[in-house]
Amino acid sequence: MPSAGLPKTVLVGLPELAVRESVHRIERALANLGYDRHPGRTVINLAPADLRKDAGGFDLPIALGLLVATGQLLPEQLREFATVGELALDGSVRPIKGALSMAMAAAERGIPKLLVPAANAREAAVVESVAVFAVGTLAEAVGVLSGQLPAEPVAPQIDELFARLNTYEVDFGDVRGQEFAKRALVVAAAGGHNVLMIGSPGTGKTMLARRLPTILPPLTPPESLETTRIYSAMGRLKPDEPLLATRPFRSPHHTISDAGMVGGGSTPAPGEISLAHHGVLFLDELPEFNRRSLEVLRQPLEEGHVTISRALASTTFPASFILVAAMNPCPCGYLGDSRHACKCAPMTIERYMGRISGPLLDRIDLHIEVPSVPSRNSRQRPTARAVPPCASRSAGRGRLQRHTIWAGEPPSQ
Amino acid sequence: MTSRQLRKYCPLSEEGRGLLKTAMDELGLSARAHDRILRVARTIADLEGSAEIRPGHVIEGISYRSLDRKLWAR
Repeated sequence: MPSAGLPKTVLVGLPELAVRESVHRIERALANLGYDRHPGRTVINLAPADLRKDAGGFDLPIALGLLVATGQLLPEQLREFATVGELALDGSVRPIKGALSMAMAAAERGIPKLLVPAANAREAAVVESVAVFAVGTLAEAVGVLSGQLPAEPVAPQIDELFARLNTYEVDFGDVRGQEFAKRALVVAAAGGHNVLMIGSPGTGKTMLARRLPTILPPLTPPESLETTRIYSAMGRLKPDEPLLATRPFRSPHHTISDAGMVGGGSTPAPGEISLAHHGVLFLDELPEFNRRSLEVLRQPLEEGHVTISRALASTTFPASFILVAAMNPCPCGYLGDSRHACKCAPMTIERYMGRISGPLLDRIDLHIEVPSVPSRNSRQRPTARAVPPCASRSAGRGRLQRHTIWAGEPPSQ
Repeated sequence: MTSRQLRKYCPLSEEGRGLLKTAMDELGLSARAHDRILRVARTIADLEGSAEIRPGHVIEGISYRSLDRKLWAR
C-alpha cells in the first residue's frame, strides 16, 4: 500500500534474499515498461508473516499488486486469478520452479485461473481443473488480466503426452542369458521387492537394473502427478517433457551425501529417493557408498516416505521405490569367477562385505548371483518371449499386495 | 503390507510353515526376514496364478535369501 513518507519501498514478512532482491527487479521492470510508480513510501507485506519466503516467483504477483495499488489495474480483474512468475529487468517473465505444485494448490483452493510464465505453462496445465494462462511479459499479464488481450487457456494434453512419452529406450527382452537373474527381477517387478545383485564386473548387473522399469506396471496418472510434482519443485522437468509418463530410474553415484540421498538443506529439498518415487533407485557398487547414506535408507524402505526435520522446517517427501543394488563379490571383483583369479585376502573381502549392514540386507528381499556368461550362451537369440511384456499384470490374486506397494496406502481392514 | 494383512493373505500349509521354520533356524533369519520371505512367496504364487502359497513358492522365496547368509557368514 502506498502511504505517506519518503519515497521508499519496504518488503516485510520474512523475505529471504531472492525475495528481498525482487523489489529492485520489479521497480526496474515497471519503469522500463512505462508504468507509473507511486511517488511515496510503499509497504509490501507477505503473509503469513512467520513463514520464510524464498523464491523468485513472487515478482509477478507483487508487481501486479503494485499496479492495483496505483490504480493501473482494477482489483476485481485479479479476483479469479492466482499468478506466479519471476521478472527480468526488461519486464519479461522468467520460468519458476514448482509450477505444478502451484497449479495443484490453486485447484485445492478452488481458484479457477492461473497465470504462469510461458515456459511453465504445459507443466501447470497438467492440472485439468485449473485454466492455465501463459504469459511472456508483465505487459502481457496486464493485458490478459484486464481483458484487453484475448487469451485462451493452455490445453492440458495429458492423454497426448502419455501416449508420446510412455516409451522406454531399452527393453527387458534385450538381455541374453542370465535366466536366474531375470526370473528374480520379474518377481521383484511383480511384488515391488528390493533386489541385490552380486557378480563380477561386466556380467550385466547394470544392464539388468536399467531394464527393470520396463516390466513394471505402466505409471498411472495419479502416480505420474506425484512424481512429476517432485521434479517440478526441483525445476528438473525438461521443456518438451512436462510430465513423467514412465517410471523414473535413478542411479546416483556412490560419492553421494546422505542429504543428497534422502533430501536435506536448511529448508528441506527432496533427494534421490524421492526422485525415484514410483520407480527404481539403482545403487551400483553398493559397498562404496558412504555408510550414512545407506543407513538413512532404512526408514523410507519400510514406510515409502521420508521425513526430514531441520531447524526451520520439517517436511515429509514421498519415497516409494524399488531398491536395486549391485556389487562385486570382493574388492578386485573376481571372487568365484571361472575366468579370472581373485587377488583379495580373506580379511579384505570380509571388510568389504562388512560395509553393508545387517539391517539394510534384511530389507532386501531378493539376493541373487549374476555369474559371468560364457560367450556361447550370450550369442543365443534374446529371450524376449520368455518374459511376458508386463509380468506383473499376469498375477491374479496378488492385486492387494501390488496395490499396497504401488499405491503406497494399504487398504484399511 | 501390515502383519495382519500378511496373516490374512499369505496363509501357509503345514508343509510350507515347516520349511520356513527350518530355513529360519538354519540360516539364522530375523522375524523381518520371515515376513519378507512370505511376501516374496505370495508374489511368486501370484505370478503363477495360484491362489494358495505352495511349498515350491516358499522354497524359491527362501532361495533368494540364502546368498547373503553364505557371503555374510561370520
